[in-house]
Amino acid sequence: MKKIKLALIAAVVGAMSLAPTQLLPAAAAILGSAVSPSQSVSTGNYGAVAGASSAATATSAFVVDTMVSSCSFNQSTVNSNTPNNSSTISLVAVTNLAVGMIISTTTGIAAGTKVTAINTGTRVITITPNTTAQIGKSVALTFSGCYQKYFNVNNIRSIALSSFQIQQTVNTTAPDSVTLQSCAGTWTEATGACTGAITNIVVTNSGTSAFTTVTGALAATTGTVRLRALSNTSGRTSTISINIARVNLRAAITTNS
Amino acid sequence: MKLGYLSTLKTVGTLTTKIAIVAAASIGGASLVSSSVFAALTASATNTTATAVSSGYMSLTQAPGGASGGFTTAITAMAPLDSVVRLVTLTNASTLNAASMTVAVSDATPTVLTTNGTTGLQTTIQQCSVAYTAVTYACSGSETTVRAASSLLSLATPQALTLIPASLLAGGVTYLKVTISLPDSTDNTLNGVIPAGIQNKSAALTWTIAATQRTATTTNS
Repeated sequence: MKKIKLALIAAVVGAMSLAPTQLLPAAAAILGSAVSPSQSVSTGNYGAVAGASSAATATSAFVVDTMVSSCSFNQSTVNSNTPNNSSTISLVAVTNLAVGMIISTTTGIAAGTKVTAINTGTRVITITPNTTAQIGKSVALTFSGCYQKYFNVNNIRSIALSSFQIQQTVNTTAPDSVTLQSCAGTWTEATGACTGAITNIVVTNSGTSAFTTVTGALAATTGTVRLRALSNTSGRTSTISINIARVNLRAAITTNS
Repeated sequence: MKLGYLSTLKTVGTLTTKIAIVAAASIGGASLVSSSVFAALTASATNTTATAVSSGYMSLTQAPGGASGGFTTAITAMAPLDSVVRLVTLTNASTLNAASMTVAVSDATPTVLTTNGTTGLQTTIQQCSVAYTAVTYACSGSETTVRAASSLLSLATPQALTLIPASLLAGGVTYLKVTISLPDSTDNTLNGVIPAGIQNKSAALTWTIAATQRTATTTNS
């Protein structure tokens, strides 16, 4: 009996030793696939520059210099007297006026008197020094010392813009200033007149301004807008930088194509 | 068990007995694995009509849906947050049902568009039970999102398309709406100098939609 058991054990061991030890490869499933041809996807680019003309494309800050003194504006006092030694004057309008402009009239204004502040709501200007005599009703004042130069902001990239951000660095000190302005119509550059409303974009007395957003569509590649740098004194410069962020781009588009 | 077996061998005793055991093991093993037999007589039965046996196959095709450019025409000058919607008709021209489908996208010219999962291109894939309408790409049947918003980076490896079951049947037609989007961007361009980022980049995409055969079956028939 014992030998039979041993023989059986030996038979099993023998079978194990001769049995295959390698796994058979698994059967592969059938696959199907649909492969597209190569599809090109590209992104656009965005950017704008300031320059002397609509053709400017140089990718660097633009220096506005050699401003030309070719503009002066008349505005009248309101229908009430301005007392002697007053630091403010009420005007009928403050259109085209800028801080730093020099005021002149027949009486009551000392030579070299400058505008130091403008309240466009009340149409009251602040001056320095104070009036030297009473100024009568509806008297015309001449505001001069407006040295101006025009320049363009050009969209030189492939994505249309809805606005742009502009910054200037000036070499003035308060109360002198450089004002960047836009015109809702068309500039007459020889006289400084604008067929629409003039908007002060940024007024900078010294140093570098913050980036200020200017709203207005600029078509891809070709869009341009003409702006004016206005200073009240000669020899001033403004170095213009243009920044474009995503918020300045045209509205996003979903295209079924 | 092995130790017990050896111990048993040691106790057996004589050399003759050991030889007998080894011989028995060899013969026993051989007898258990051998299939050789010797027959003196043979007989056979052959079917008179050949049994036709054929294998199925898997075949998927994709084509632009309707007038859409599908995966074939270029997409140009995308701005951040722009989306382009394309229609693709997928046909399961297989003789076998499919068990699952996947989508993968490769880029022959990799840039941040396909290597960055956050700022790169994103896609969403929807399915309509009937063909999408022209122009508006509306679904007049039942529409489901079969691939939620995914970066193309994530689709560098195949990802599941959770299609409605009928799409998997042999001969099934699947109507897909593929939306390709460019995410929002923090890129600023100062004085026209294009920064490193997502602007002015190009990709050459190959879309692969793949299916595996249905589960193997055993049929008594």
